[in-house]
Amino acid sequence: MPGPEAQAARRAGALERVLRAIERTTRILALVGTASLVIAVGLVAADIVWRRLLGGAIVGVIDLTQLCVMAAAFWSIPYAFTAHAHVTVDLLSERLGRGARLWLDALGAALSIALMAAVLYLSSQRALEQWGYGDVSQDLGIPMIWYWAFLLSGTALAGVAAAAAFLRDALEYRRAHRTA
Amino acid sequence: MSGALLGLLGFAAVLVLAALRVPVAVAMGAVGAVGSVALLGWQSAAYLMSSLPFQAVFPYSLSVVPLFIFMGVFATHSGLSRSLYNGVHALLGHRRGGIAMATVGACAVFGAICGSSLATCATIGKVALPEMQRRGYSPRFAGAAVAAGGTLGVMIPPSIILVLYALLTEQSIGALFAAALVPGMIATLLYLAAIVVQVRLRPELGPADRRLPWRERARALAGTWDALVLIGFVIGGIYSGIFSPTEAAAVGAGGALVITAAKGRLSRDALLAGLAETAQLTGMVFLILIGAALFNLFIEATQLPGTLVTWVGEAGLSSGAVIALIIVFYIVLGCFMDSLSMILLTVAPAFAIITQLGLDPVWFGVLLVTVAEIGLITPPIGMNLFVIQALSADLRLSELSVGVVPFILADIIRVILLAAVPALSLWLPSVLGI
Repeated sequence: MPGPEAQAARRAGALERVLRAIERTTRILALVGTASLVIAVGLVAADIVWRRLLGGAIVGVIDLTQLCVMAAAFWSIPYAFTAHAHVTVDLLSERLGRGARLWLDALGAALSIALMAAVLYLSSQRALEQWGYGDVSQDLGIPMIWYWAFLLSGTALAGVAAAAAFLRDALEYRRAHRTA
Repeated sequence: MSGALLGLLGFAAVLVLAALRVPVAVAMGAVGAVGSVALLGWQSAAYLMSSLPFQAVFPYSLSVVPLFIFMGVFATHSGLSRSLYNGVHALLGHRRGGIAMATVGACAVFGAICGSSLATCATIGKVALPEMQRRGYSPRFAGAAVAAGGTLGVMIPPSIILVLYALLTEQSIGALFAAALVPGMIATLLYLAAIVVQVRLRPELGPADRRLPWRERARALAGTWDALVLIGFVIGGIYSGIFSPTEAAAVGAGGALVITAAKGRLSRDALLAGLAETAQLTGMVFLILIGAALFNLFIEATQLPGTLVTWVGEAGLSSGAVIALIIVFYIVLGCFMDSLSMILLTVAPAFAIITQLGLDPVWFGVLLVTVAEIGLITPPIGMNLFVIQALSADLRLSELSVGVVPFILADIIRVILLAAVPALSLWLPSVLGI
């Protein structure tokens, strides 16, 4: 049977793999989301050219642009957590040691997870309601649940990403502590 | 406890949580959600909150935000900053303090492509700081010039903050973009004046560079054509009414991508890096929008904006005194908070007061962004100062904070001018009929 140190190392290794998987997932989703903006750019540009040359408009550009923006926005929020890109004020924490800062990060992560869980729970009620009514977009008749799907998946992953970002900091703190 | 007092406690709670390193968006959202449930009861609050995050992102008008971010990021990656810097440097570099002036000029032009101050500061700083160090400029003076010049990114249209102000207060984005142009030019001129005065008093701060022959100047200026075409399409398109803001943002984003590819800088890695950077900024902005939507639900429930309007009326203050108080409030808050969060957190009550006083919301939007922009270079939380510190590791924050004082004075002169003469903001929108 492996000793306590070996068991701890194995647990740390497993956590590292999970964190990497979450970080990779958030990055891939964010890249797909923002890449969809290129589709929106193409559609709007085509619409402008079409309107100028032929006087008409491409039907559904607004619906599709909104879909692309929902993807870009909600699939970017989890990545902003793992990349530590959300705005924080470091005025007080800069004067604290790394250990104390980790406690503050725990508070931030706990509130982030709670907020994302609340948004997910409440939004899912409204999304199911719209799904039940069969609500669709104005021009192309895209089911509104597609728009909500980006919100629900992005919010769920954002909660996980907030936890992962905190665990990453804790893991690095522990490693630095051991090395010291 | 009165609703207004609860509202003020809500603001205090957000500031305390933010000071404890909770992401500002999460602090606003959490306080807003808890406060709304406390005031409205679970049933009503849950019903209202169930659609707010969706509504904070879904409107078509909000499409301009990620598209302008996309445009700014790829304009940064395309190397446009280098050609713009070279162009302005060729014109001004031979003067005393000329490279610092070129830096401010390049920031102003780059600000017309990129709606973010941090990106403008970082992008131009990467080009200008090494150049100024090589030419024997004082590091403090050089860093301060870039930090101050960077603020023009948010002032000169297109500006992400102006877009969000327009959407939240239901004003025309085009009118705000037009209204910000003259104040942006005044800001540039005042920064140039701040440089001229400093180098006149202490010539060793920024020695003159060699004067380029006219042929080299013309070549450097010709190198800026792609940036100028992009600016012409985006800003010219909006001002002339050819494009809606969303269309201009899409054209700008597409143009920036094409320019990056044409310059041979759109490798697979560069594309992924650009998309990742766009994602970080987009995620950050939209979470703040969601947090602000939840917080504003709470603030509306407290009826704080209405109470503030009544207080202001009962206090018998003149509109000038109220504006002065609002400006001082924002300058102080800007020392501790980033400009986007600060504006989204406070815009509802401030806007209620302004409209009650019969002041122009477009003029106020420009003034608000101008004041918020000062916060980017005031310690202790001057984001542009942090960017400069990251770019030149041997420059201490305390030195940089002293270096920006002349530029802050220039900003204060500008705020007084804009507050006293609304026509500086409102003239262009009226001429363009926006």
